[in-house]
Amino acid sequence: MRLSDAKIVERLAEQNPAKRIVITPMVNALEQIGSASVDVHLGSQFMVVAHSDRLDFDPLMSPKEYNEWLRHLRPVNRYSVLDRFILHPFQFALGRTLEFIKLPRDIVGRIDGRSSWARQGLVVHSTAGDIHPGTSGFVVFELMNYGPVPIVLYPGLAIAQLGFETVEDVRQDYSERPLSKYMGFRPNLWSSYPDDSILRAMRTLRGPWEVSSEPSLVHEPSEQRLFGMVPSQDLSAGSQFSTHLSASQAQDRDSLGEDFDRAVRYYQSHQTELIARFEGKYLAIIREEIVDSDSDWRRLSKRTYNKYGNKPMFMPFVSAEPEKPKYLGGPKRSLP
Amino acid sequence: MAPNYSYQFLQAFFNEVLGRYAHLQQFVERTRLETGLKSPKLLEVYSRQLDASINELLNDAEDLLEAQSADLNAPQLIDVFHKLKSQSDKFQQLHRTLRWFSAPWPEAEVFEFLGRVLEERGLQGDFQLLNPSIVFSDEYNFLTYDVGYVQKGLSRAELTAWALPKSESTNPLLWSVLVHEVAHSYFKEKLLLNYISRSLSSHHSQEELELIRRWAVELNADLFGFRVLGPAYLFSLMYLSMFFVSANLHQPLETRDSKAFHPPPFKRVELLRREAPQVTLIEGSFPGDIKNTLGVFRRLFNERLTFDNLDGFDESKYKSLYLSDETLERLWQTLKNFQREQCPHLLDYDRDFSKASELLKRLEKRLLAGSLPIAFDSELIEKFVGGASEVSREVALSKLNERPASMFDIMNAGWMNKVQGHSWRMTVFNVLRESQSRISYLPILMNRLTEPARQLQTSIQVALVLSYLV
Repeated sequence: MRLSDAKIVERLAEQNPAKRIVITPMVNALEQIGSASVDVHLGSQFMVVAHSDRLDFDPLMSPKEYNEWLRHLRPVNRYSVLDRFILHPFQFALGRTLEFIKLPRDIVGRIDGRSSWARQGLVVHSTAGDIHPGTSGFVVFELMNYGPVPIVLYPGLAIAQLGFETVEDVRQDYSERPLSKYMGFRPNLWSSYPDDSILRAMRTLRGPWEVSSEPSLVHEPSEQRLFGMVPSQDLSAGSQFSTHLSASQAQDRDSLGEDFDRAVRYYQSHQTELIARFEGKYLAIIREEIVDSDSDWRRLSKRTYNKYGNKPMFMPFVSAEPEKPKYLGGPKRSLP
Repeated sequence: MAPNYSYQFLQAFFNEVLGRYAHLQQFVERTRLETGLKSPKLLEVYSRQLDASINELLNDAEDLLEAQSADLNAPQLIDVFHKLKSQSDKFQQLHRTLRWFSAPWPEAEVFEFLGRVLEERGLQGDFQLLNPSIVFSDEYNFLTYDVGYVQKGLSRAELTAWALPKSESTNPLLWSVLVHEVAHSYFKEKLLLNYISRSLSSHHSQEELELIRRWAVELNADLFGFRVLGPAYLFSLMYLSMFFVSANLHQPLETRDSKAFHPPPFKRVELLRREAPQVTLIEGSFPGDIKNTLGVFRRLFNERLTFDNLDGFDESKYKSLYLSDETLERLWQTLKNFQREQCPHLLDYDRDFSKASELLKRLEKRLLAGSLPIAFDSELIEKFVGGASEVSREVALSKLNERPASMFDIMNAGWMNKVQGHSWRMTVFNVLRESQSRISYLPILMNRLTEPARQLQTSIQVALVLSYLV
């Protein structure tokens, strides 16, 4: 059931954090709270897509392509209530609320435009109007001007309203979902890297990504360790799973996967012997052959990709000890 | 004999050096995206160097990370301390290498932050007059950017520029140190030195007078920073001294151009710590959160001093660079008088720290902590919700209104949150903002704004800075 003004006020003033709706700052409650909604203001950050040679946004793109795509986004900041941001006819831009919103697990929110602005052709959200139970952060506007003339926007304009409905028996709210992408304070208004089981399956069918001769700087082993970026599979104790697959376009995915699996199986079955020979080094294994080794993963990958071309290679780090996670203590934990 | 809490100090030391490395790495990664992979070699080499340094840091601190507090004996602790100190040095060297990277202007939020902070203290007019520029520094240091240093013929009088380390562009807790640099531009050095000279007795030697003048400039800026930001300034000063000064903290520090020495960090911190009750008028008014945070900092700082004492240093070498306690005390009083005359309203306040504590509660719940309720009255709201006719809608809803918190409260709450909350060890997870554009600030517009518009404007600025703190 949609919350009335009295119910919204009750929730805003609720002492129990599990039941409370947070909207902060509440600049002028009397003006903002309507009969069944709360007006929210436009924040000061916008993001537009720059015109470029980039042709498309392909959800199957690789992380590297996605990073390149991000370069075409142009952030625009307007810090004063009198700084203008002009939205031209049929221009699309992202913005965000001035207000920080937090919803309890029994409330679902919905963002919608305000009629005065709608009559000018301004749309504040395209399709994603629901705010899930348990969400906290700023709400992103998907701004579009469908009107015939440019619309001047200023930070602080009340361009949207939030409505709330109760929802029962939520087992896992947005904050508890492992795949929640937009939880909390996000620096970026743009969408996260598109990734779910369907997309992963489609990427598998399409075939692996092209890998340039320069390995990406993003997925370095040390960075994985430092920032907790967990390798996609933990194959065995002491091994580091390399995500840098490469493949010839002529081969199909099945045989590539088979080659790679053979390399993994080979490593697992010969682990003891390999530890004796190569401890402390990274290995490059193609099918059942060790083609190279090095203590520096980057050097090894560069050399082997240059020498053998785009082939599936397994590059484990050889160590008798399973890699231990490093726990970083803080004063709160350690001070008496 | 090992210091009692040295294990905790070393853990904090490790976390913070690692945290700074993480910031640096993120800065490099962002630059890599911005260059459009046009200069991959330089970035690749630098990135590899960073990786190697982080690995080295992890290796050096391995004993520390794997041990429990009781496991390590004194020589082991001292060994880890020396390793961490050299890692901190190495980090600063790597930071210096950033001069090879083109860098955009720092975040406009830094500018907004300073503008707000000074406005709260009634100095917005002076800030406008200075018309400052904020730039990045390759040094891991906050400094008054000396244009004359690189461009002959331009004097400082023509241009006010303050610099912050590149890797700290998104760390508002350390932006507070910039207020120190503001003081260098705000107070005319000549005026300050004349004032000091007049108040000094005639028995000082020429060398001693020179030393007093040098200390006066720095201590004056510290006093200003402390009066503007309160404990948050002290926290940032202690933080940088503890973890990013490799020299003994009792030792005067050589300036960047090696032409002069700054007062030893220990003395600077001591003077401010003593000043705390005066600045806040009543020390008893400190809420528990501020006291606790001060306590943690004091203990960690003392640990650092204990390690320094174990190392020892050649006092005789620096004898001529020290002021006697008596002279220092007189100088400090003179500086206070000077500031009282120059900007009397700066002293004319009694800070209410309870607001910072309220904000801290919000931060602990991971809520944006930019505003505070004006006059929340749950009883009245309950009556309104219950349909009581005597409570008007206007009155009830006005109780839900919030007003933007001051930067002073926000910064103090931010430091308390960092130390008391989990953010202390979460610095590695801080993320860089996407935008790094500079905006033209039009302060004159502020004067034309009506009060509600002012509140809205402040909310906009506050929300921006706050989004970094959590």
